[in-house]
Amino acid sequence: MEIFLYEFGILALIGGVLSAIATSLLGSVVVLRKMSFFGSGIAHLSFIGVGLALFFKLSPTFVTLTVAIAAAIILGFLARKGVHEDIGVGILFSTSMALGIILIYLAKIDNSRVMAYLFGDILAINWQDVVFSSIVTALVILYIIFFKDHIVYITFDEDFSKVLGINIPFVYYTFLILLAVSIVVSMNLLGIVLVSAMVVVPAASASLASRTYQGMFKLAPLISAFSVFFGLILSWNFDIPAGASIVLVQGIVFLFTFLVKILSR
Amino acid sequence: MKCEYCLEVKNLTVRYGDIVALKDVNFSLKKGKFYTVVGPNGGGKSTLVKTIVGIIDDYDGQIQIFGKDRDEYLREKLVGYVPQISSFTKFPIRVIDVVLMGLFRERKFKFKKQHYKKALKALERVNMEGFSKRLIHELSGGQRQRVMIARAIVSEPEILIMDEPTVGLDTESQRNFFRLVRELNESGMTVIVVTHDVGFVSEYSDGILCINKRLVVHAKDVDELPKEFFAKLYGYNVKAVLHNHKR
Repeated sequence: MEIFLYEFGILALIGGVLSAIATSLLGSVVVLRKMSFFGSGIAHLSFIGVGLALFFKLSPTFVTLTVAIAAAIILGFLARKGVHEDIGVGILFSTSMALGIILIYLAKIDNSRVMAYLFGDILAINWQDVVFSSIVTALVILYIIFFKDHIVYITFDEDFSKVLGINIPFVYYTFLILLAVSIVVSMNLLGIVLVSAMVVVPAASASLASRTYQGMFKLAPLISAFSVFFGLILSWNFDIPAGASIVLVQGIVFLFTFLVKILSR
Repeated sequence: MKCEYCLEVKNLTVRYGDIVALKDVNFSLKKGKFYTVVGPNGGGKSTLVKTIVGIIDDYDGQIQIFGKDRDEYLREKLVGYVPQISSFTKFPIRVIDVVLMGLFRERKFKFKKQHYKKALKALERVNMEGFSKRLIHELSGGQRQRVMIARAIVSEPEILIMDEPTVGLDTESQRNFFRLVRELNESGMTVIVVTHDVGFVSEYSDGILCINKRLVVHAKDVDELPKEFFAKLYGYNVKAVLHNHKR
């Protein structure tokens, strides 16, 4: 618990929990829609944004956000035209990483900066990051409060949602844009490589532990916030990377939930 | 103004890109009757149903429901819709929540007690009252289709349309299913069922629409159709096995 006596520890905890809430709420939809590869794909596609920002000396956050939102909209559009979200990501995944690597190489940037984007550094976040995370998390919570049933209905039975008069493109694209923004915010904490875990793993654990989708939406943020808290303590006590520790705790929770589920049958 | 017809379709044409799914379809259906839509695969039956209930918006021609333009009617009321069984996969949603979907437009922000009461009543009407807390994928095909009917009727629609609702069900389940639908029809609801089962058509229907891109025939009874009719419609010999439960 000593880590929380320091300002960086408190910032990491607040930023991490905010990010955990946003990504796990949207992650529940990701798991229900069976598009788990999408989060990882958006993060990797955002690497082009990192490359472009470093090459043209622009704000990485702004460029990465723009690229992530554009990628989400394009992939969403392809999905509406019959190309599943994960297939679209699979096509663009490696190409975007390759392009990002080339741009960063040409920009002749110090490797440590590149490593920060790839693996994140939750202990280095500042108040500005926390404020940004708070805004994004508030938007995600509002979306879930107002549109949870809409997006669940679209996922369960899109035809009937149309019969009900739900504005499917609005609900769907808003979800994708919020997902892209949440992923970019979480990339500062966990990096491109690990961020998809924040989206998928807590929601997957929640889907095992709860019978209904309503239960998933309640449990996933709790699991994710718990993982951030214990991940940071684990990181401090064993002097290991914080982002990786958080993901490790998430993985352990999933394994535990899975075993309990199997043994209780 | 009282309207004799619950559904009037005039010169309806639907295209998917260059493919014409329906061409110049015209018919009128009287309210309170039980109609069946038959025709070969790819003949446009599902397209017709999806256009009437509002899933397909891109069409030429006119659809009037109880004398009102389709969109105007659908803004005020739902047309009950039961999709094909195959559209549903494993999903963590309870039966009661599936039925509540049908009341989505009646709620302001969230479902309240009166919505739950209505949903339970709808489940009771389809003899599924004990299943409200079960997950939808835990049910058998026949039970699932009953839940879909509950969802379709919970908002008390004037018309109930079903798209091949009994595909994959055994004969007994099909019979029970159509009995239930007949009861709903007898309570005053107009019912339109898309089906391949020509035998059941004769048993329950007040009228038959045969669709193969165009409206081929609009008959009152399967007996009215010429012997070679189904062979021509489906492209091979089909014998209509008539059941013994004709009203």
